[in-house]
Amino acid sequence: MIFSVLIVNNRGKPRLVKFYVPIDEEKRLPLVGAIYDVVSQRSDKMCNFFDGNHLENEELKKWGSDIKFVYRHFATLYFIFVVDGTESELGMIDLIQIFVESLDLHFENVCELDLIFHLDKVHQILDQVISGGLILETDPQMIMNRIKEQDDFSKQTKKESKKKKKKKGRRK
Amino acid sequence: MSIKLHDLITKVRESSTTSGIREIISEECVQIRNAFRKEDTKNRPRNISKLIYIDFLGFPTDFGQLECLKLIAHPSYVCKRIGYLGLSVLLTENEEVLFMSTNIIRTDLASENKFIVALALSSLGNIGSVEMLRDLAPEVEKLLKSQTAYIRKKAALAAIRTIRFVPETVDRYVGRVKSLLSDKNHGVVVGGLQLLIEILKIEPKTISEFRKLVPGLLRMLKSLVDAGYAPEYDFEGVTDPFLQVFILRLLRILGKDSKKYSNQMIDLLTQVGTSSGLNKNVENCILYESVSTILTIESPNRLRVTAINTLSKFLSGKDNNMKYIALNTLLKGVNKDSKSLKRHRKVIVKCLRDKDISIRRRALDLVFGIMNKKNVKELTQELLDCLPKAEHDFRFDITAKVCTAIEKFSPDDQWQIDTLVQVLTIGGQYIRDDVIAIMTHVTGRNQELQYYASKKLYNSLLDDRYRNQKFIQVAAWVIGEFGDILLKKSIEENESIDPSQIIDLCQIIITSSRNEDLTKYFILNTLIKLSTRIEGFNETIKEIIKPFMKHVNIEIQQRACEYFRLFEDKELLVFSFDRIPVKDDNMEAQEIETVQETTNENSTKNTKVQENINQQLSHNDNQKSQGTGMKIMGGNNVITQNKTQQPSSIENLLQLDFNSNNNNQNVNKQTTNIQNTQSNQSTEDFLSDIFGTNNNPNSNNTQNVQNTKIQNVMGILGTENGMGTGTGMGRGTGMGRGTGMGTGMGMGRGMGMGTGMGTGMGRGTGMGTGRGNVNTPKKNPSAIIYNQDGLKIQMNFKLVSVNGIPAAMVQTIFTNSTPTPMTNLIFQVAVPKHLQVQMAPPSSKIIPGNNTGKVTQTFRVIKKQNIKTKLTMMTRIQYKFNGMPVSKQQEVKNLPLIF
Repeated sequence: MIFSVLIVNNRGKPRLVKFYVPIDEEKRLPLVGAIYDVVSQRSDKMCNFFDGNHLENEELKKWGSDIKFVYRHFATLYFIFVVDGTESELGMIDLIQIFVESLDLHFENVCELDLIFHLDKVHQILDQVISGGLILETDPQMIMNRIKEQDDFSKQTKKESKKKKKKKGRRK
Repeated sequence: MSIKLHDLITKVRESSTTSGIREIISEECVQIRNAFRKEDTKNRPRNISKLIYIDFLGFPTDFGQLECLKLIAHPSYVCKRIGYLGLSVLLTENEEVLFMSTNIIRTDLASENKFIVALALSSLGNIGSVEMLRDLAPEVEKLLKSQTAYIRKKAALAAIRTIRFVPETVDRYVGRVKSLLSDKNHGVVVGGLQLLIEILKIEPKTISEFRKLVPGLLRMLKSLVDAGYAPEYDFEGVTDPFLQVFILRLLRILGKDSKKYSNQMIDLLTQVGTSSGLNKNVENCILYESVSTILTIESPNRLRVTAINTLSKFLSGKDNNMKYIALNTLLKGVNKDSKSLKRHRKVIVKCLRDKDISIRRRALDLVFGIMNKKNVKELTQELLDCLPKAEHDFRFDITAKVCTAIEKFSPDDQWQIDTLVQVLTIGGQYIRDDVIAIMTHVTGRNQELQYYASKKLYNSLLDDRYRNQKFIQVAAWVIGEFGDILLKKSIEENESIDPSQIIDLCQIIITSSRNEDLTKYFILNTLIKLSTRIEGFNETIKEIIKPFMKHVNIEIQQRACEYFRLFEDKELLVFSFDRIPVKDDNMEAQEIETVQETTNENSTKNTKVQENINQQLSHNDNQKSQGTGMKIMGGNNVITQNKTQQPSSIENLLQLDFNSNNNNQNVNKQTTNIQNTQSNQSTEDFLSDIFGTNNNPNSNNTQNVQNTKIQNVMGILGTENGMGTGTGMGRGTGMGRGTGMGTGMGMGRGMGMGTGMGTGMGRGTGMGTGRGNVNTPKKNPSAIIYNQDGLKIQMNFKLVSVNGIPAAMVQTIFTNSTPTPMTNLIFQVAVPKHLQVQMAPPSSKIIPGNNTGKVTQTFRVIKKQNIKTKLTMMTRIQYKFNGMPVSKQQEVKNLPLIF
């Protein structure tokens, strides 16, 4: 199970914080900070995993004893998945890749600013990759199509509602 | 005026200070609240978007929750989309507001528009609460048959959440899951596989049914492996790796413990394990998955060896990720394949020196996993070599493993001592507290070892007395305990040691400001012991001890005063500090067994227990003098560990006496309590109530068993003081408190005080000490009030008196036999009106799995009127299991207690 998906920049500022288990609001950012502290001190040559049970954190312990962070570092951003022992670590690396590729497809060369200004979009894309802590879709193109379908449908309904309003206005 | 989300973000980004951001956000929140109050429907989606951003920044957004519901109830897709997003971001499954969305989601699930259905399913899969999932299970089941593949896939994931939270719905999906596996869409199959894995976790009985799917799964996997380039499912040149991974994972579960089905898989697994190249992460991922499967199922030896060889290749490779994974996987197979693992020892050991801490930690675990009596010398040496270079945290891990290795696999005794001294020398400050217990255990066997250890430690301390504190403490204990042997033997070997030199060394250490109080405390004990072991130094030792009677540390001060007075009674002194008895391993095992037996049957077979104890007493009578020596040792140990102990565990030991506070100032008060409750005994007599305990966190289990035994059978009031000064342990020997100790001691011995000492202290069993005159055993009843789903709740009752009215002290013990810890424990008790209940907080909110620990919570039931009554109560237990909240309520009647 995937417990959390985090995007943090090189300076420790979170860019996406998503938890798939309930966690108190005030405990979220300290946990993200603690994870960032560990991850940021590791050089890029080291492996992409870290054991969560060496991190003294109450919330992490609640999730189980076999918690791991799988992370990747792209330019200015760390993508961190917090998972338990049932997920394959290497599979998670691929999943991060898929998530990033999907973002890339949508934003055309995604950069940090895209994530800042389009947080809702990032959430929507993530929702196509992972649902309730489980893998939903693993093809970036498919994910993109789905988002596009939804966007188109939104536009369509918007237009329709505008037309209706116009009609109403004319009747009056 | 409502600003755009984009403008808000820009504004926040322009602000350079945290307080500036807070101001902007609070201003914006006021705006949004006003808009909500005015029912501003036009800006509602925008406001929710803003709230999502505000929530992300870490500010409270509770007031937006209801607005999300309004949005999802809106017929327009645009509103629904943002509403559902808000729902999953702003709310958690615990929110009560969420329940109100059930009906809206139900309507949306039945919608003809696939986008709306998808939204509803996602939110159910993301944040659905127990009640919602239970109510909507039929709808989700229906959607598994939907025309749209995308919906089927989402429904499968929602179904997983449903059976996770509401296990009784699992039957609904057992029949459905097969059709998902034969779906044309790969995504749906992945969902189906995940669902099936979850079903097998919740309902393992169904495995025989699903094993029939193995041939089909193998066919599917084979077609994926053999398939050429398939653009639709291609991921970096591999056909649908995630599907392959999930099939392999399912095969692992289905093939486990079944020779027949494992055999079917072997050919294909061999192919997967050998065919894929080893360059890309994806390929490694599949390879790793297949290797894990090979190691888990009943595969033939040659295949296992191949698998392990593959992993070992990774260990010597350059890819750090694969190193980590390989170590991880080897660790899982360590029990079954220890033989083939041995060949790769060098590679594994090499990983101990890796630059990456993640890899080193795994390697340490694995090195410990492959350790046995034959290779322990080499491997321990490797670990010790790594110690000086390791970073702070990792050193604790290493020393802990070395200590366990010393205890667990010892090829010979001398090696144990040598290694122990070595680890103390290089990593003393990183060592766990029970190292002294290991030393006692090791040296307990014969005089040769005692001499060897004391000589070694004494000489190295003489060479360099500025060693780390732990080293000095252990050395102090050993020298104190075996000082006479050290002197005697050294004369025999013509390397005679001057006794005054030993005393001088002690004096130097105890007066040096470099050493911490605990070390001084150890030296005090060394000195007092030496006074009984070496002739003619009593006056010198008295002089050394004297200044410490005014020491700033109350512990040391108290101990110094006690010791000083002990010099007045030579006989008592010798008796109190006699050497610990030789530990007998068989006796230990036997004792634990009887203890366990007794606690299991304690309520019914009290008489049998009585016999057991009597036997023990007579047995121990012969060793009484030795037993007492042991108690003092136990005291040392209590002190050592109290440093790290939390108050709750002390309360635990105390059987929680509410009237006595846990600090030293209240010793007298506590004494009164003892007198009150055991009024049939004389003042001096209470001194002979011994309850020496050591509280070793690693061995709480046995320890507590022992506690219960003593409580149940002997009715002895066990006390341990909050400061952990060893007053508890000392009570019998007269060491504990200055007042009346002489008489107390005399009485105790006069009555033929039996000291049943369990085993090597610190090793876990601690020691129970019994009283000589076992003629009025008080019966402390206990009952198991709850035993379901792995959670066992036991209650131990004890009668106490509050202002002259009898009251019941109830200690509730929670244990968990499932492998998963239970968290967020809340235990509540309600009693009839004529009673009153006072609860203390639980020792922890988490019950560790596999019976590895327990949680205790004590409460007191007081009567409002002094009428004899039977204890009845309502209990409610709430906890989280696997993330799912569980709540049970039950009435507890027929308790074995009338008061």
